[in-house]
Amino acid sequence: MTNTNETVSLVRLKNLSKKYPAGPMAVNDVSLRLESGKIIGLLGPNGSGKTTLIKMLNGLLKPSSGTILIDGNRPGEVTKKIVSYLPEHTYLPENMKVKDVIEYFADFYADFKTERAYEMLSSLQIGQNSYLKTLSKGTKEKVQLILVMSRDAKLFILDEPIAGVDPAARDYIIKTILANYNENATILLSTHIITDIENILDEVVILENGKAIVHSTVEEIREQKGKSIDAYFREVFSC
Amino acid sequence: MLGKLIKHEFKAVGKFLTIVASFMVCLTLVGAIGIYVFTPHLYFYLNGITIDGTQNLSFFAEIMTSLYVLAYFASAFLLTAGTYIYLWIRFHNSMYGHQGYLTNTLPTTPAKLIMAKMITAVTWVSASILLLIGSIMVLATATANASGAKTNNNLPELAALLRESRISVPWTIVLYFSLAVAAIIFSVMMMYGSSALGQLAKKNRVFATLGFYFAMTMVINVVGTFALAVNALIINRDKFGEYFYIFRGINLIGFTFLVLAVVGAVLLYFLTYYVTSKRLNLE
Amino acid sequence: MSWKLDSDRPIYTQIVERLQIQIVAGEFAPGSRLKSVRDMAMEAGVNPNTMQRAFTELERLGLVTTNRSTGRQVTEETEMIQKTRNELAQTQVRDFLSRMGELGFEKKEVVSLLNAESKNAESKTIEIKEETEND
Repeated sequence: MTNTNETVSLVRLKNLSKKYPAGPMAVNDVSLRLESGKIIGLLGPNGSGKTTLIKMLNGLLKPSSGTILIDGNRPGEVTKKIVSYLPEHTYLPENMKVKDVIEYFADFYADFKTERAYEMLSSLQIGQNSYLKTLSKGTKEKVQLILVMSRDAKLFILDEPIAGVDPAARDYIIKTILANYNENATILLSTHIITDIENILDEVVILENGKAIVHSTVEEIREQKGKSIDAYFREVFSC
Repeated sequence: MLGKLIKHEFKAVGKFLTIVASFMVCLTLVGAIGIYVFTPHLYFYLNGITIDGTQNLSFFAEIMTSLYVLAYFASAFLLTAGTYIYLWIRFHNSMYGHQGYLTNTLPTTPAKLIMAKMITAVTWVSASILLLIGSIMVLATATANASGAKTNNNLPELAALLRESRISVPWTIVLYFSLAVAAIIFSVMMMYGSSALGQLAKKNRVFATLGFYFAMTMVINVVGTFALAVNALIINRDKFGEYFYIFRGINLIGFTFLVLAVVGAVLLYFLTYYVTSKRLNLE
Repeated sequence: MSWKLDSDRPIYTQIVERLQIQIVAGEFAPGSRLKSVRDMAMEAGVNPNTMQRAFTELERLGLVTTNRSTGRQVTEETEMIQKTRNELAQTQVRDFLSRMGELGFEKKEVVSLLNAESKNAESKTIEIKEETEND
């Protein structure tokens, strides 16, 4: 008998903390629940703990205390099958061809959709036989985004997907994110450029000094504060 | 999953290493042919007989020989040290560099990642060493045949002596074969272990890695010397003149180092595993 | 390109307003099928859940109907569309009149201003026609 009142959140953080050996708490007692089917913005100034939190979600860093559960599992082999991660910088081997990288992803990720990836690449006219090192920085970033979004993952973690990117590319990235959204997945977007992206967000989580000071739906903030998320963010951090 | 990792690892390192190996094979062929072509001339030259009464041919031969020797040594160095360094850089970049974000988020465990790379590296290093030995043997045989010298096969004699000393020949072969493999595994794990420790540093990771590697070499020198000393005490030196005791002594040393290599490799593996899974420090 | 939307007001209300105008103006014919939530969301550059909320609101207002077999379509009840058209127009007129009142204009002045302005607009189009005929 299922108890419909208790939904298992896709991501559950409980008293999560991370302290680096010689420094303050990068993430300080964060407890959050992130549900499926939402596009969530992870906002915060530099040093607020966004990167640390993202690394912990991906199993690249171990928490000092507290727990992370993604679909009921701690970060590890099982969660990596359902988490698709786009890091901030280029992370693909430069000496591979585009089609080699696609084959690589297809080989390791059961949820990778090869046709989708090729469709997106051809719409951008990126040759599959091009070596990655011959592509411009912007094109490389688009290739990475395409690879990440071609997976039918349950949790997408995109770290600064539109930073340092020209406006046309930004539009493309936002459209790609929307196109690959589905109700069974959650997209977590970490960004410091809020204006261009706030219209596609369902919720925001705002971090300050390692603490989650805000977790709210975007519409609530607009209705209650009468401000855009960007304006609200500036207000929060102006004191 | 392990199979897939190994397959992709081979794909990644194969290109460069195949080029280096092919280069060596070509050089060996050139060398063998050169030996057959030039040795008669060398013989004539040394005996004061020249083809057309000039000294030019031998001068040409001298230049070619020097160049060839240079190229050969460079190739041998590339094949051995070069392979090591290449695999070391490959490990460091794919595990702890920017590519580490890709490698460490693959749906697998750190154990499989390390094992896949280790297996690939050991295979290539072993192949390279065998290639080098083969190359030297080809050149040696060519030299012998070209100059008409007699080649002796001393192995049957050695085997007979071993049997006389009641030491099992098959087991001796197994011992030294295992020692070779263990030594290769150990040397690869030394690179990986120092890489893993090196990435713990915030800045100057390359220096840190080399520092740890150097420290490890110091440690194995000390341990090795100590092991030899212990062996020396055990080995009965009074009767050392007899073959039996010589062979027993050598095999004991071989066995000691086999154990040390295996233990060392296992320790380094767990060190690398621990650092990769619990203390990953990607930039 | 995404729609121009104000970030400091709820997005879904702005979408509802915009779609209302499009339906009333006839851009979407009565009974015509609407694109899916996802497609509209991508076109507008907004979150699909937000677009869904806008559609739900439009359904509540009676401008959009959902049918299991035919999906989402503009209502076929033209009276409903007319009603909305009138309501929207009334709001515009009321706002206009109140603002003109703030400026100090009386109703008679407002009416003559409106007449003059619409005549002006008509003659402008005639001028343009004449110009193009002379070329």
